[in-house]
Amino acid sequence: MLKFIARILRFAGADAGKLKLSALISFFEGLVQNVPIIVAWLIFVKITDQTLAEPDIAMAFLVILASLVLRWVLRYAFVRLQSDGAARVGGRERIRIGDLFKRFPMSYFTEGNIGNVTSVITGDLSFAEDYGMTKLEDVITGLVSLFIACAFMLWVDWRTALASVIGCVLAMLALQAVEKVTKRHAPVRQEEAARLTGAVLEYTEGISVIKALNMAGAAAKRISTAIDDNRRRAIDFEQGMLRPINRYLDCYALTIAAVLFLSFWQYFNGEMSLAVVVMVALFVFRVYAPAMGLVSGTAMMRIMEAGLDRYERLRQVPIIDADGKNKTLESFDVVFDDVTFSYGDSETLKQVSFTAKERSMTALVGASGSGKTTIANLIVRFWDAQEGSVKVGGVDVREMTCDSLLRYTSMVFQHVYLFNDTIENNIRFGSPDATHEEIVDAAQKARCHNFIEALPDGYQTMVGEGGSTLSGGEKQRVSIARAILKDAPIVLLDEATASVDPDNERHIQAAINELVRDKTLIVIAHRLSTIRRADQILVVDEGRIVERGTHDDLVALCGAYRKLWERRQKAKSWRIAHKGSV
Amino acid sequence: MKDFMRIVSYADDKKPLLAQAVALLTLSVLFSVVPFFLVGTVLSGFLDTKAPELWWLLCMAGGMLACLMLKNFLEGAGLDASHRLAYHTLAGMRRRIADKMLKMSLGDIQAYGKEAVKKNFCENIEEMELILAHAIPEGIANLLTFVIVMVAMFFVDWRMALAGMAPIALGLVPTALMMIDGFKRMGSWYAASEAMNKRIIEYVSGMEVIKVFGQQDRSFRKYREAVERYRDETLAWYKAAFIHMTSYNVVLTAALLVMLPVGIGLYLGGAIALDTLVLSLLLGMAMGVPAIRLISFVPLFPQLKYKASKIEGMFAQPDMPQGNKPKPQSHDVAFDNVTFAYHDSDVIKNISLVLPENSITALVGESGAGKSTLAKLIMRYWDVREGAVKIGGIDVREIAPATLMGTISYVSQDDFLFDVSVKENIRYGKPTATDAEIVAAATAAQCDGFIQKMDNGYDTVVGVSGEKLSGGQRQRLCIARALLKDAPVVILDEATSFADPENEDKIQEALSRIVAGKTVVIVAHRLSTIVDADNIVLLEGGRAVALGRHEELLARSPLYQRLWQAHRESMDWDIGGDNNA
Repeated sequence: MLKFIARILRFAGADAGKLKLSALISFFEGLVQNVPIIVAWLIFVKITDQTLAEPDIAMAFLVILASLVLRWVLRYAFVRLQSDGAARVGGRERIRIGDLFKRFPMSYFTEGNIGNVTSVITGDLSFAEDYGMTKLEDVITGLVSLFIACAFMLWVDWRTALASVIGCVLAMLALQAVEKVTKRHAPVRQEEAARLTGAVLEYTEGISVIKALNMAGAAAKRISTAIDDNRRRAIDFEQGMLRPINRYLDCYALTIAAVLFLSFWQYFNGEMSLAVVVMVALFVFRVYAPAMGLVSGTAMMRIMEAGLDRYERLRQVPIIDADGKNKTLESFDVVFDDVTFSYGDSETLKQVSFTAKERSMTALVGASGSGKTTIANLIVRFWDAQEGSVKVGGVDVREMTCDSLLRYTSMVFQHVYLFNDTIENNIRFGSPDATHEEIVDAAQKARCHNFIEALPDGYQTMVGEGGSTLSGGEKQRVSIARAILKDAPIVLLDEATASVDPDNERHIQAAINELVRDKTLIVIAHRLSTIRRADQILVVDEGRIVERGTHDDLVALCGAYRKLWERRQKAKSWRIAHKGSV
Repeated sequence: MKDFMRIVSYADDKKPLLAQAVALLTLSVLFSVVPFFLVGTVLSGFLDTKAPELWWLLCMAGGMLACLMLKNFLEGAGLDASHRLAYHTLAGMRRRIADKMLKMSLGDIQAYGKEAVKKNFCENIEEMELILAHAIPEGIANLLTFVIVMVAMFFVDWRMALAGMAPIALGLVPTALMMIDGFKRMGSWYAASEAMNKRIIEYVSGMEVIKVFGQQDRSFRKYREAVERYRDETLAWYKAAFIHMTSYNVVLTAALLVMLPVGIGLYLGGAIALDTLVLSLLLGMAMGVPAIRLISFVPLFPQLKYKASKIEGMFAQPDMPQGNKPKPQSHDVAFDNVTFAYHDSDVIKNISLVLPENSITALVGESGAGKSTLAKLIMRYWDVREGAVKIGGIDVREIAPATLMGTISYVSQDDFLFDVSVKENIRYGKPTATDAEIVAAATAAQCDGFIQKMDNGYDTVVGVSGEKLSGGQRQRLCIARALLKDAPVVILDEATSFADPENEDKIQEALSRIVAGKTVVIVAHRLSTIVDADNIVLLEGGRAVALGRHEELLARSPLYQRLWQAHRESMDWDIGGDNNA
């Protein structure tokens, strides 16, 4: 409970002061809330003294009214301080993390991470924003009510006060038991939720296979087991909470009964007036209500804490180029000098050295997983090499900020991202100051002018969510137009890009050729026939460069490249037929 | 309420839990009121001429304790029943979605969107969970408390009851104002919230591109604007709501404001006994808190309805009609004057074709010509608009879906693997297959080699969607599965645009095995792979414009010549070469 308060305060940062002030106000509001009961007590004193008279009607009304006005003011200040804070803190944190993203390493924005990151900012932060302050309010008013209960009782009589204090202490102990159950269940539930999501993913992604393979029975059973397990866990959790919650509430039942009995008993002994007994009765049934409510929020607080933990982890992602400087490059050759790199335990590159001269073409060839993509990624500081160095234009890339390094590179990979904006603006991304003519020129070079013109709004056509209204090949060409406009001197190309849309392969190929003209080109090659013009081909095997040279050199060498080349030639001439492979 | 009942009906046989919950919660509220009456009784005992005895006081206090504990117990049991009801309802909805997907045609699922289905399964239902499992049970409890306490007040003294009602009635004014204002603002607030979320997703997903093009500042500015707009929109709403919120919070709990003066008046006039007065005050003060809580539940009903309607929109999608004819005896595939449209414009126009058994038919054409659509009509991905697709002379719509699927193997580039062992994944092709048959299929599909190298061989679990395998390995496993299935009709859709170019030859080898002796339909992009096909169907704009073997088409069709030429060029592509070569 207190941990939760601390958590929210830490999250609130500069606004924590406001929250503390609001807690203080809440305390005073709690005090003022009891004024009507004190008025009732005075009235009952008069009743038992038999001095009650007509003017007391107006007196009671006016005093209570005044207390309500005061309460209104305090409450208003309280609500404002808190809810305002929530929206402000939420906005501030979103902006802060957005600012940080700019400096996160490129390698951070992988498919899986993108999902996590967005769910933290849109989900976890919003949850904390929407419910954090309400729950904080509940906790504060709950705790304040307990304090007031004990203080009030002490003012009345030490015996009832003692009963109240004992009751509150017992209740707090019982509450800890509730929290323990929540804590124990939280990871289980999270796991269960993940399992359900997994089952759902499998079911929806696999639905065509499920139907095709007549797996309706088996698949339906798999998913319905996941659904039922999820339901059972959820119910188990609620039921597991039942007894601890009951015990918690019973503490108050006991306190109320004890306080009332002690009051009755003292009246019986003549130690307490009837008016006080009435006041205690009016007071005691109401005062614990906010504290009883504490119990219903524990699960939600746990969810929130977990969300804030995720958010904080996000903020602590190390920034790769913290020591980098913005440098201007004069030449654009790429040099690997004895580079060794690994992520995780396995070494993925071992002592790789090569020079890609300015305006030359270097092709990386090798089996999938050989390390050729890693080489390309090291050039743009997706990661940093552990040993050796990667230099661009004579400057070690580790001395540069990622931003200044990226200014000199274009990347054409299979995965394309277009913004939810017009086609023109998507292309303009390559150079913000480009004129319309320059954009059309780039589009023509990238072989997308014709299909763009055929669209209902031409260059002003909106690209749907993530670019969904265009075909794969069209998106690819728009992204190439963007790169052509940027006109960076170094180009990293995954050759498979050309094959994403076999019907449009030719257009993409032509677009790529426009882009790579006169650039320092590094190609990750799959179809060896495409790299016959390469100035050097590097054959990568298990993280090492095993052969290097031009196509003709390597074919003549009769080594690994020759073998790959022969396999490719055979695959290229394959024809499907009933007689089996050629 | 009607909507609520409809939603709860997804709980099926657990629906009676609702009555159980209401009964238990009603009882619990009744027991929470009894102690007030006991206090009243004690006070009247005190005022009696004959003073009560200590044991009697002890009994009364004991009675209160018992009532309060009983109340806690019954409330727990009632909440338990309503939680169970809620979770059964949610599970029921999820099961309905799963079931619905089996009944919809694949084309309709695709049109509805897999993302939307996933959203229904998870997010939309989870959002309902918060309301259904937590707000509703507590809402019912508070509603019952409010009603029962009010009835009890009238039962005790109707004048005091009316006095107690006054602040409640007054409190309705700010409540109503707040809600009216809320409905007015909701639209633009939701719009700002959605715009912000979209912007966040775009900012994060596009970060790689943003960095590459050095557009951090511009993109961040847009992001920041969206975040700030949402914040300001929220603050404006809060600001307007604060006054109302404060007002009803204060007014609804101000029972004594009217009750006490009225009580004094009545007492002075001798119209009310002291114990009755106290009892009325006790009851009056017990009404405020449930009233406030009730207010917070009111907006949840339209939300619940809104969220349920999103999910129910899926249930309203049409089911695929089911035939019941037995297995066809022969397996030639015939398109009989087939016309098909996704929406309004036809994408397949009047196509008539016969694909004989033991032959390979290739569908070729430019992108958008309808090749893939035509192939998918055989497996009822969609149903035709006019004409019929027949297997062995029987309309595919009249064949029982399970039988139809048993007749066809469909292999595409992005087939799906389940998160089970390699062996189980292959066995899905034929559940009765022995291990030896599985190994044989895997060997024929060129998988045995890489499977043997995996940590647990055939028992290796492939991970979610087969993530532990490369694209080519996944594809070969899917081919092994199809080989095991051994269906008489084989559709290869884009199967030759390889996911794993380094291992193209192995995939080709696997494909060669699967087509042997079957009625084969291949959607072809790389024309060189189908030059030996028995029949090539050239599609243009949804029509079959030419038909024949490769040499025949090359001799007579200018369009085919063009496609062939383009294919040859793209096969000969040199990176960095001249585009006009």
